[in-house]
Amino acid sequence: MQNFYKWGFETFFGSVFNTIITLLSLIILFFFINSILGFISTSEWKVVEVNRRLLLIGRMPPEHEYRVWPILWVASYLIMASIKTWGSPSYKDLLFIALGITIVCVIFTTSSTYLWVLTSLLICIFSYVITSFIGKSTTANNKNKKILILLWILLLPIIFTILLIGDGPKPTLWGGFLLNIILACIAIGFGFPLGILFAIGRASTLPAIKIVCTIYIETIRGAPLVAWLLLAWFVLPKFLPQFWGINEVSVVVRAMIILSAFTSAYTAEVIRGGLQSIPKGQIEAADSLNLGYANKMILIVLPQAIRVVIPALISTFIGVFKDTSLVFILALTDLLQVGRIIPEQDPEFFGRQLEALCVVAFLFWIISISLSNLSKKVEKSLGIGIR
Amino acid sequence: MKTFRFMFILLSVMSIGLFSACGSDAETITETVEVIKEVEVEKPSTLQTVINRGTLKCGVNDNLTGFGVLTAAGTFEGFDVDYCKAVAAAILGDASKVEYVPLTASARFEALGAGEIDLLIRNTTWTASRDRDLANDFTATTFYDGQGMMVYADSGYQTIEDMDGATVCVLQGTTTELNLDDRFTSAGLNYTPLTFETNDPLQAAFEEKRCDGWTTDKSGLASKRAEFPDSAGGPAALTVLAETLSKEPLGPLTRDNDSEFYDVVQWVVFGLIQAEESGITSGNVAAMAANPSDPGMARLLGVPFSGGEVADFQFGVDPKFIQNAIAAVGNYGEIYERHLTPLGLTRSGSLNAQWTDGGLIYAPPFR
Repeated sequence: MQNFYKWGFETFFGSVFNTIITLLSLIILFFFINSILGFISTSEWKVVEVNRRLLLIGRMPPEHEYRVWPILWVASYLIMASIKTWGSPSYKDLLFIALGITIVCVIFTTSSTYLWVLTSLLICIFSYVITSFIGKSTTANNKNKKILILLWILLLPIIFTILLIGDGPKPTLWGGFLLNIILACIAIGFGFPLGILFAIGRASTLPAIKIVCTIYIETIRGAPLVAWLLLAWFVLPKFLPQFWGINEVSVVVRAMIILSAFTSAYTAEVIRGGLQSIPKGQIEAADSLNLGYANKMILIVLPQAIRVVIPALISTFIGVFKDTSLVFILALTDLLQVGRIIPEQDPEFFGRQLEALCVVAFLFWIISISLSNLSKKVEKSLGIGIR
Repeated sequence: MKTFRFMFILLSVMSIGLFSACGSDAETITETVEVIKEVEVEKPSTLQTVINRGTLKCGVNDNLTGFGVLTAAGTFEGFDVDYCKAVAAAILGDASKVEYVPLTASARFEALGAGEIDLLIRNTTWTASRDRDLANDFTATTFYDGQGMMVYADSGYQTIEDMDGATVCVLQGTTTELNLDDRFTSAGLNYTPLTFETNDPLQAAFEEKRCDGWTTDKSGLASKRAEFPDSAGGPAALTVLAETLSKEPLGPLTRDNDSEFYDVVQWVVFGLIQAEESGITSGNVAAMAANPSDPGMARLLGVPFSGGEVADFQFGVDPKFIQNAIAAVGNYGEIYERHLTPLGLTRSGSLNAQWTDGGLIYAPPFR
């Protein structure tokens, strides 16, 4: 105990400089805690409570609300099964996941939806248990991996089928957190493969391809996303041909196109960085094996190039996910926009924006931190920084 | 394609102009004029587009209490929103056939001009420059507002002249911001504007006394003052200065040169005002239509009076369009009662009272 006091004194008040730093930190800490306590004691969460539905699915009409649940089920199954199959989660990881799910459920479950939520939770547990059971046999595990990959590829078509089949709501009515997630999935799902193509194109020795790819990347990166979105809203319809109703295409689709294009340009540059890090010997080795251009790229160059840039890539994806909140410019009601406008609903909620935005921030944080953990897991499994 | 064809015709007209300057060629000019007329006729009116589509695309506000907000159920509600419903009921016979497009203050005119919406009802002030420069027409005024200034009661400010050197909180991109500048500069007063995108952070800044005054439309100030949190002193801590800095007539807008649609929207607004004057409400409109008490009421509701002819004003919609609009949202007074009275905006004695009560709410005759 004596040692502890001694250590503490020397660390915090050992010299004049340390003493000043300690006192300053204490003052800052005091104001910080004071303002947080002040917020907690005066906050009122009714504005969030009555708008939980709006935050999650936006303007989706109540009679179509049931469409959201199957999506949640498919997603819960896939995510939990994938975590078990590839993630080899430790108890700490599982605790973290359980905590995250619990907090979200506690905030958003209402008396009318608890059965649906319960089903989703059961599917999560079922998925985890059955996957760990399958994991005991290597052949079954390999087969399961293939099924999961196929399901991941089919996920977006499944989501759109569920949302649109049988006179579903107009895409402009999708909103809230659902819209952010759909847009981010589309942007990453299309932007990443496109980005690979543009990166290879830009690194190509053929001048025509190189110039086209360079112009594309630099044009898209040269203007802010907001400008591109506004362009998609007001200018794009004038340029599109007037058949098949293309020029009247929904603003949601226009937002998807722009976000995918934007993501592809940024990922292309990230991947190009990876391509440059591949030693020339690797390509020469591939040539000496008489591999064609496609095989050389797919089997030798890309796996190494992408492995190197995974941290930067995930960081781009997190950025894209947060950028989806800019679609409020296109009159879409995304999560952040809901958080911004709900205090105006009722004079009772005036001045309660901070509460609404806290919940919005929490939801964005959950997804971002999950992506960043995913990045860590992938890095570890590929042995980056070790091998 | 339309734009290209228009450009093409424009170019040909210009070249013909050049030609005719060299040697007059009256016949070609007449031909070209005919072509232009044809194109103008071919361009479908918004009214026809709305009827064909079966829905009305209405640009609204999603964060102005009383005028347009997104409710917890995911639907829109408010004074302006009711006018969207009224127009939809008048044209399509169904007030639910509205596609709401929530717009920011800065994107609203572009959205209307680009055809993303048919009708803009987003507490937009009618000004000369907006009417002339932008590709839109103001139809009528639904609400007469005026810019006010709210200050803390203990600040000692009685008039704008007292506010030399003050910091004023204001929403950006609005006429309010410009009027504020006009008023202070013309009086030779110094001030610092503090601008915000939405009301809530502005209120937070005002509560922290980062600004001495809060200026916006008086309707907005009244509701903000009524609900001012007790922790910051409650309504009693605030005064709205008597002076009105500007005239802010708010109303629906349509695109330029779109007379058919413009007329329908304009007369729906007038119809709801006339309905209040004639004592027709959403509750008694069916009974009144079955048995109109005078010819004027019969003309308004589009029904025959004692076995006579139905007065069809040839608006290109059902002659009963006003009747449908009243049945859907009620008359002007009902809309006001529903959305603005709860905010503490008293109607009697204000500009928004019926002309018979000394206000400016007045409809031209239905004849």
